[in-house]
Amino acid sequence: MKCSEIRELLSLYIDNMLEESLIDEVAAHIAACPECKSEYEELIAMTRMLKELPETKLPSDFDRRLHEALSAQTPEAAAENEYQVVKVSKKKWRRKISSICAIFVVGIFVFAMYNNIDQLILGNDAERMASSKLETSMQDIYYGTYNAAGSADADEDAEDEAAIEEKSDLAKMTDSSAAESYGAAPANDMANDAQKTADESFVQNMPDVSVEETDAHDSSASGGGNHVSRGGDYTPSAAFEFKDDAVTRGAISEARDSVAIRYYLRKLEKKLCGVSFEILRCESREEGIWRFDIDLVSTDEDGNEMHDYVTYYGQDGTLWEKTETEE
Amino acid sequence: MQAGNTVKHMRDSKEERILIQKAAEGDIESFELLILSCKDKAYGIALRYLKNEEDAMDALQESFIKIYKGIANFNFESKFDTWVYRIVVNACSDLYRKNKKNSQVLSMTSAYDEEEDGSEFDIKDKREGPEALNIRKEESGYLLKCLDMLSDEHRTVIILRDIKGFSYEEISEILDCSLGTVKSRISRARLRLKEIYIDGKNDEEI
Repeated sequence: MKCSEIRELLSLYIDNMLEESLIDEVAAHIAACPECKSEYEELIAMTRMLKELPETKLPSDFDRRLHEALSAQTPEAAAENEYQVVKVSKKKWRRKISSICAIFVVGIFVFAMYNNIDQLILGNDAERMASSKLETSMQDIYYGTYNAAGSADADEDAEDEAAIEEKSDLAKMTDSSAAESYGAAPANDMANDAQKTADESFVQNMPDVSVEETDAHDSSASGGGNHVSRGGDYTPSAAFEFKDDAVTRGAISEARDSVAIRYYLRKLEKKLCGVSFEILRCESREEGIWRFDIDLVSTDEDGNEMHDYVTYYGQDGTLWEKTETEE
Repeated sequence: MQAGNTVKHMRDSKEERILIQKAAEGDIESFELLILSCKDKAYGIALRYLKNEEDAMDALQESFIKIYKGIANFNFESKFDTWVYRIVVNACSDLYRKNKKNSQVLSMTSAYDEEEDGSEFDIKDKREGPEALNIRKEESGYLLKCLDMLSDEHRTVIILRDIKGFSYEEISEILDCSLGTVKSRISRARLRLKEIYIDGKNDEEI
């Protein structure tokens, strides 16, 4: 280290305040360097002189004078202390109020959140519910074996009531031609053909649907060769095996949602004015919205089958066709 | 090293707390007990700083009154004595600046002759002969004059460290600054004082 650096450390060295790693270096330097050594010695002499300055003694009258001065202060001092005490307690009080308000606000927030979460949770639960009942529901709807459960959401709409009535009627029917399900035009003469087409198309176009007996499809379809039966007995598990992506996602509970589906499908019928269609997909989206993917089937002049794939949405009793802008 | 007070009160913090509480409620006697252990040392600081008894007593009284009035606000972050010393140092610094503005430059001899009482030396230096005493008087007077030429900051740390014997840590608490600052300040103050001292001596010789 240079002499100038050593010089700055001499005071610390004298007072034993120098860090250990530097002590040896400074000691060695002082021993070796005459200039730094004399600096060191001069500093020691000076600090000693300062140390040995005469001790000072407090004059005897100081205590008395101070006491007088303090006595003169007392009322003022007390008042000031009180003031300070009051100030402090006011501050504390304000802080307490603020913290109570803060807790209150947080409480309200939590309460609001809790209420919203309530609905969200129920929504999710409804989704999870009855995906296993999916197959049953769809088949019921399609083939009219639907049992209008007592707990079904009663749609106020008259059409829905009619739909329900029709449902129960269908349930009683055994006649295949009469047990027209969806896709059947009101006009009777078209009924069978439409029904047949519908059935065939349905079976053929249904993606990922496996039917146990596909070849023996009987147009009369009164529960014969294939298990695609309607209007009467059916075996839910056998007839259709929906794969996950096939049909309906979303919440379908047996009672309520079937009613909604039926309602919308009836509306769809009316909208399409008799054009036959098959349902490819029926999906429940976020609460209250339904999506129906359908295939409009027709035959052209040459007898070729034409398929027109359309999507419809249903919500709150209104049915509308999907436009390009929608997702 | 200067001896401490003749009466040293070893006070535990609980006792101190009680006294502080009472003083805060306006009990003057409790306050006087509270300051018993530090008032002599505080006076020493003031006297070395302000060079004469009257000023030192004024500064000290003013400090104690200020402390008495504000004792309810004492936050116990430092020791009570440390707090006293801090206020006294500040009061001295303020009065010093005030005096400097108002008064003329004091003569080289007058101020220091006043404060020095022969009795002080008698107690300490019984073994030394009269000659030694005189030299000492002169020396100390001269040294104090040199001290007066330092900056406020340097003068303060010399008084606290070398004259009153506070530790580095205590000084950092009193002055409310870092230990590093204290270290560098003491080092520079001593070197500077030494310079002044030697220069003065050289001038005299010339």
